[in-house]
Formats: sequence, C-alpha cells, structure tokens
Amino acid sequence: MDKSKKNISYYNKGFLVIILFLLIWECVVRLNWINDLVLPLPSKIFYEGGNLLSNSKFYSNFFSTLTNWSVSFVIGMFLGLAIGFISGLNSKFEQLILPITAFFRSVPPIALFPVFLILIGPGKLPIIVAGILGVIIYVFPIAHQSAETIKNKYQDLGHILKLSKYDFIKKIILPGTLINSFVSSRIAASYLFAVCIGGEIIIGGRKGIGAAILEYSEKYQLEEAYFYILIAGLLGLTLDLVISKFQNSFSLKQ
Amino acid sequence: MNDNIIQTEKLSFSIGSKLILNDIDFTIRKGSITGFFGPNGSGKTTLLKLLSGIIKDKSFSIKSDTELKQGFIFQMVEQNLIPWKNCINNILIPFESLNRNKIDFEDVAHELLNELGLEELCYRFPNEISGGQKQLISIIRWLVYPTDILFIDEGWSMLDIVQKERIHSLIKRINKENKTTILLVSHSIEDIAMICDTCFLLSNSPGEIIDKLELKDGFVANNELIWTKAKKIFPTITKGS
Repeated sequence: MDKSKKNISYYNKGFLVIILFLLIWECVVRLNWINDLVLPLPSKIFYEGGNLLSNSKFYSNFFSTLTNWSVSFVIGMFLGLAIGFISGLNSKFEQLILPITAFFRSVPPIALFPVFLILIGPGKLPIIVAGILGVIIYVFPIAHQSAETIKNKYQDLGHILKLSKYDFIKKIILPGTLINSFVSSRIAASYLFAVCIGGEIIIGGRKGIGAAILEYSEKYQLEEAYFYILIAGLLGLTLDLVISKFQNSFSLKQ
Repeated sequence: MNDNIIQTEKLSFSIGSKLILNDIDFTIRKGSITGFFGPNGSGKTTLLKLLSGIIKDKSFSIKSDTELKQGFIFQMVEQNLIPWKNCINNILIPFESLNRNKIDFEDVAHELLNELGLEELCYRFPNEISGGQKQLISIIRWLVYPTDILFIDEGWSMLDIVQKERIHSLIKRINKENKTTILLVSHSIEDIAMICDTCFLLSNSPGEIIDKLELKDGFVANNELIWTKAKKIFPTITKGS
C-alpha cells in the first residue's frame, strides 16, 4: 500500500478512538459524574464552536498562529540547514558552533520567552524568534551529521568521477543533506507548533490560538477555550499530515 | 609506457608506524585483467586506492598515463550508488559529473538494462533493490561510460552463483568492448581464476608480492594453479576448506 494512504488509514483508526472518547465524555458529564462547570459537554463545545466559526476573530486567531508557525518553520529550516551544512563540511566552524548549539539544545525555547519578551517586547516577534530557535535546534544536528557522513562516504567516488570540490558539494553533499534534513523536519514542525501555541499563551499576545485559549479561560468561557484547544490539535494534525506526505516522497530516496 | 598502463617501483606504504605494503614492483599491461589475491589485511584495498590516486603519497613512484579515465567499484556497495538517484541516473553519474549531455547515453543504458533483464530497475531507488542488483548497476555504469582503467575492490563475494556469473561476463565485456584495463582485488580464488589473465599473490601483512601467475589455461587449470600457489600464504589450506 502507498505509504501516504497507509498513514491516512492509521489516522482513520485514530479518529474512531477520538469519537469514542468524546461519546464517553458526553455521557460522563450528562450523568453528572463530573460537573459541567469543570468539564463542559462536548456537544456544547461544538455548539459554541459553531458560533465562533461565524466570527471573523476566529479566523484572525487561526491565521495568526499559522503565520507564526510558517514563518518560524521556513526561516528555522533554512538557518538550521545552512549552519548544519557548513559545520558538517568545515571542522573549524564546527568547533565554533557546537558548544553554542549544545547549550541551546538543553534550554527549551519556551524557557527563553521571558528573555525575548524583555529584549524584543510583546507581539509576534518573540514567538517567531523562539520558534526559529526551536527549529534550528532540531534541524542543525541532522544537517550537520548528514553533510559530514555524505562527505566521508562519497569522497572516494567524487575523486574517481573527477568532481571539483564545488561540484562535489553541489551535486553530492547538498542534495543528500537536504533530503535527510527534510525527512527529519516532522519532529521540528510538531515541536514548533507547541512553541507557537505556548508562546501565545505565555506572552499573552492579542492574537493566535494560544492567546484565545488564555482569553476564554480567564473569562471562564470554557466551551470556547476547549474549542480552540480542539482547533489547535486539528491544525497540528493537518500540518503533520502534510509534512508526512512530503516525507514519504523523500524517504524513498534515503 | 608502451604497452603498460601502470608501473610501480618500490611501492611501500605505511599508516602511522604500521607498514601496510612493502616494496611492491609490478607492471600492468594495457587491456589486461589483473587480479591481486591475498588474505585479509594484506593491503589489497590500499593498493587499489594508491593506484587510483584516492590515497595520495609521493614517497614512491607510480608511472601511469596521465589523464587516464578511471572507474572504481567499491567494496562497500553503498559507496557505489547515490541513494537519492534512481538506477538509471546512478548509471549516468559520470556523464553528469563531466557536464556532458547524458540523454545521448540514456538510450545505451536502457538497452543494456533491457538486454540484461534489468529494465524494471530503471526508475527504482537503491534502497528498493537487492545487494546483487546494486552491484550489477554499479558495474553497468562503467560499461555505459568507457574508462581506460577500472579498479574493482571485491564486491561480489556474498552473491549467489547466478549473479556472480552475470557479473563475470559483464566484467569481461567491459574489458573486451571498451578495451578497459581491469584491476581486481579479491580473496576469492574462483573469481580470479574465472576472469583474470594475470594474478599477483600478496603475502600477509605487510603486503608483498610473492608470486606472479599467468592464467591462460582456462578456469579449471587456473583455479588449480592459484590453489597450489596460495599455499605459500595459507600453508594449511586445502581445497575443501
């Protein structure tokens, strides 16, 4: 079976579990085993969600998170690939960069939000900067290791083919590093999504899914808050599916 | 160089303080298929890498025609094929690296694959084919792209007899059709007896040439000759072993 079809089939089975979970939830609350002030009814969440969907504010929040994610992902991938690629080929640059990346790998970007908030100020920018850092931390080691491994593995073939150093990098090392790094980008994308939502909650921005969750929680409008949590999950799942589709087309070539 | 394509004089090579090859002298005739037989650690792979220039060392002399077009089949099958290129593009890598129009040669590659019953592999990637098929693809590359000299570092010792026979006939074909000089290192007597016309026996580490055998009398006689002489390296060897 085609890998992407297989993936979707896995997700279908997963959706059945979610539906079952929602049904149990509905029953538990209706039977008053849990107070609906603590855990609202799923049917009420969807009803309020329907109202939210007819409001332009919802779309503004949705696209704000999506924009934060996209910008951070593209810039983070580019920088992570570039830094990893250069350090994989140049041992002097590797010596310079490895301690810094090792340091940031042990500090989660969410922990840096307060620092970014002070340095940059409120708004989208600190979230995007933290997101970029999060992606770099995931992509850098993979790009670094790929470039180094491919260089060592194929340098003899490069010699036999009489490739110049430039051609060897352009035709052998670069495509291999790109493919390996894209295949590993899925974890970075999921992690980045958590950073974006977390950032919107912690920094308390005015827009974004995270900001909406915080806002409705503070107003004790739990149905709306839960609906946004549901949307965050669905958006994360969709992005994961899109990236996994790309991955499958690349993983054959690994 | 006359009829010789490579000539070494007192070739010795060390890695650190360990002597790998010691006083290697030989000449290789143009268009010949020469085998180097020796035990593990006798420096066979190092010798091929020195001759091909992959390892550079100026402490000895290797006389060879300048600007030789070289091919190399590496022992590690993964080193021969680029994983993100399909089989046909892997075969055509030399043309791509020389910035030559590979489309002209694509038909040749297709014809060859068709002839060998491997046409179905054309658009498959290396991780979708078996080890033996990878080896065949890496050999076909040097049939499509003619070279002056082809270095072969073992490579098919693990393959079944049918695959081996196909590879033997391909190697002979490269030698005949492209007039390619072939240097093969192996610790398989059968491989050398089957395709080589000259064989150098290498001693245990450090590698030294202890005998040169002319193999002209067909597989059975060649096989027997190498087995007999191989006792110099492996005194306890018997044919059943």
